[in-house]
Amino acid sequence: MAYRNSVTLHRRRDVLALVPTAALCFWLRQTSLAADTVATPPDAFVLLSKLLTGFPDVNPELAIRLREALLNMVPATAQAVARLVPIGLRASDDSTLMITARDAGLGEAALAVIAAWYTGTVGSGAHTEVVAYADALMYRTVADGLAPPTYALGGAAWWVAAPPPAGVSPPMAGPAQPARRPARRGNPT
Amino acid sequence: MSVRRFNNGDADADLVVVGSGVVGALIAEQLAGAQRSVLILEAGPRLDRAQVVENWRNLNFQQRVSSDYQSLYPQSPLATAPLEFPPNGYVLLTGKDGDSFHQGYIRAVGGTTWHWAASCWRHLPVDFRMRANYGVGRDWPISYSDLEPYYCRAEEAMGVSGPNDPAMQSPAERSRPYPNDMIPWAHGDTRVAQIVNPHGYRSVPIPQGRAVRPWKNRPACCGNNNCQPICPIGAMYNAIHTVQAAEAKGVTVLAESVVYAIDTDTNNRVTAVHWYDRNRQSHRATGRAFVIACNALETPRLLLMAANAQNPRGIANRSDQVGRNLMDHSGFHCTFLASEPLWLGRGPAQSSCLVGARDGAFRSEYSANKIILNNISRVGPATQQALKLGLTGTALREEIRRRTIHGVDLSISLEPLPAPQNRLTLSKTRHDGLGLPSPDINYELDDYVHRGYDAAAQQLRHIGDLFNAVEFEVTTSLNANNHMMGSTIMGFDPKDSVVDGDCRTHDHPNLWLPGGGPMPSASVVNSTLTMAALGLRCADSVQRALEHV
Repeated sequence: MAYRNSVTLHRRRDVLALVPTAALCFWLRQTSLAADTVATPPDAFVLLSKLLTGFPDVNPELAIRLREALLNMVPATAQAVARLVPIGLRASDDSTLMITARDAGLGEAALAVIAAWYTGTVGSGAHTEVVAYADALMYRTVADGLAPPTYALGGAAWWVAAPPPAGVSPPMAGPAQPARRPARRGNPT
Repeated sequence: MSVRRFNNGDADADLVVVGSGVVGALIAEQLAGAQRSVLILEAGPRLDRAQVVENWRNLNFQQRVSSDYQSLYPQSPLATAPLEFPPNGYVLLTGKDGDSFHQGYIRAVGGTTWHWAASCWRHLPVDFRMRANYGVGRDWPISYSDLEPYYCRAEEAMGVSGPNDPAMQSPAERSRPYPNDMIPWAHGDTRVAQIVNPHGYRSVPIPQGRAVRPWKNRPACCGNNNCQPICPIGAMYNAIHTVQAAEAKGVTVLAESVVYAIDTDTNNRVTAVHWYDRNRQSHRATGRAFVIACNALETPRLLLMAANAQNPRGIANRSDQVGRNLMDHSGFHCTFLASEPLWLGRGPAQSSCLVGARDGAFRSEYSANKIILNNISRVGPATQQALKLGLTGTALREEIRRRTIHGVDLSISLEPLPAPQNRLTLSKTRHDGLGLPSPDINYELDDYVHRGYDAAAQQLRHIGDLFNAVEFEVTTSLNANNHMMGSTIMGFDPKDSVVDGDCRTHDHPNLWLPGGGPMPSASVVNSTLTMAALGLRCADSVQRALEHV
C-alpha cells in the first residue's frame, strides 16, 4: 500500500517547471562541452534524467544516489555524463538529445544513465551497485496493474479483478526502432 | 519426550533425523506427536525471512532477472550449497548433459522449500508402472493406491489449494477433497485456458501450498508474486512452518551441524551418527532409528563418505546403486509476445499448467511433458529487452509496458528415465569447508528425452500460433529444475535398489532414506508432494519399528 501512495505522490508532482533553470544556466556557463570534470550538479542531472527516461517526475533523492553511484562505479561514464548534461539542457526532447549525444560519442553514456534509472542497478558485470528496488522506473511503467515483486496491489485474491487497459499498441513483428520522435501518448501508468 | 544432551555436546534420541527440509520435518513432527524423542541435525544455519527478503531486493538487476534464487540465502562456510553468481564450483558436472544439471538447493533450517514455487502435484497412477505399461524405466514397489492416503496427509500438512472439480484434476483419483479449493485464476490464466483448451492442451489449476484464506499459522496469500525465491509474508508453505510445529512438540533442532560419519553394529544396525558443530568440534548422536533426508544429492554424498569397515562401498550401498539413477525434470522455456495483453505476474508465481501431454501411449517412445504458464512478472525481462533496443524516453516506457503485459514465459518439464550411469560420486580433489569431499556428477540424457523435446517443441509452435506470437523463441539447451530424484532408488530387489517401499534401506533395518532419492520414476511434475507423501509413509514405518525396539 505504501508503494501505491508513493506513486500517487509522484504523479502529483509537477514536471520540468520545478527545475531551477537560472542555476543551471549559471552552471552551464562555467562548464565547457569538453569538461573533464566529473562534477555534475545534481539539479542538472535530474533534468537530464527526466529527458532520457521519459518520466517528468523522477525522484530527486534517488537521482542523488544514482549520480553518486555512477561517479563511484564508472569513472568514464561519469565524465561522459558531465558532458551530456549541457546537451540535455539544450535538447527539446529525448530524441534530439540522443542524436546530439551520439554525434558527440556519448550515446552509450546516455543509455547507461537510462539503464540505471530503469533497473535500479548502476554498472554491470562484477561491479554493480543497487541504488533502488521498488523505485526502479521499470516498475512504474506497469504500476497500475503490477506491483514490484514482494509488494502487492491488495489483499487476498486481489488479482482476480480485471487488469487495467493496455494503454499501448500491441507488439508488432520486428523490434521497435530507437531515436525516432515518439508520438506523445497519455501517461500509461 | 526430550532429547538427552550430554556435557560433551553428544546427544541421544529415539529418532535422529539428518536434514530439516519438508521430508525430515514432517517425520520429526509426527514422531514427536507420538511421544518419541527426536533430534534433527541440520547442516545449514537458521534463516530470518525478513533478512532474506531484504537480501533479494538488494541483489543486482542482472541476478534477479537471471533467477538467482541462491545468493540471497546465507550459507554456512562449513556446509556450502551450489552458487552460480559467480559459480562456486561445489558440484562438478561432467557428461554430455552435465550443463543441464545445475541444481539449486538450500542448506538451512527448513531446506529448499524456502525458494520453491509450492506446486503440489501427485504422480499419476500410471507413473508408478512405467515398465509394466510402457516398457521403459522402472516400476515402483508400491502403487498409487498405496501412496494415495499419504498424498492426502501431505496435502493437509502443507495446506494445499487445488481444484475440487474432478474435470480439472490431474489425476482425478482422490479419496479426499483438497484442504482448500483452487487458487482463483487471474486474467492471464483464464485467457490462456480459454485459448488452448479447445485444442487438447488441458490447462488446469496447479495444486499449490498456499491459500487465499488464513491456514493454520499462515496468512492468506496476497499475490506478492515472489514465491520464488522468497515469500515475503509466509503465506506459502515452507518447511520452516513444520520445523516450528515440530519444535513446539519437543523436537530438538541443531543448526550448523554437519553429519559426516555413521556407526553400524554387527547386525548392521545404525547405532550413531557423528556431526561437526560450527566450531568444527565433533559430536555423536545415538538413537534407535535414523532418517537421512538431506535431498537426492546430499543424502548419497553422506552415505558414500560415511563408508566404514563393514560397509566399504558406503552406507546402504551393497547394491552399488547409491548415487546412481540421478534424475531431474529436464527443463526448457518458450517465450513470446501474445497479440493480446495477458498481464502475467498478477497473483502467485504459478497457477495454471498445460497437462494434455502428461500421459499417453507415446510414453513408450518419448517423454511426456507439462507446460507451466509462468506467472512471474515479466517486467524484468521486458526491461532488459527494451533497453537492448536502445530506446529512450516515452518510447522506452511504452515498450517495457507492451512487453510486460503481452509477454509469455512457458516452463516445460520433460521426464528422464532412471539410468545407472547418471551418477554422483565423491571428488578426490575437491572439498568443502570442513574438508569433506565435494560431489562429482556425471549426467547424460538419452533420446527418450530428446524426442520428447522435439514433440513438445512442435506443440509449442502451435500454441504460439494460437496467440499470434511475436518474437516466438524456444530455448535449445536444457536447464535444471531442482527436482533431484532417484539416487537412493526404491525397489523390491536388494541387488538393484537401495530402499524398499517404506524408504527403509535394504541393508540397515533402522535406517530410512525418504524424499526424492527413492523415486524410481520422475513423471513430469514437481516432486515435492510425492517426497512429502513418501516421508509420511516412512514416518509410519519408523513409528511401527520403534514400537518393537
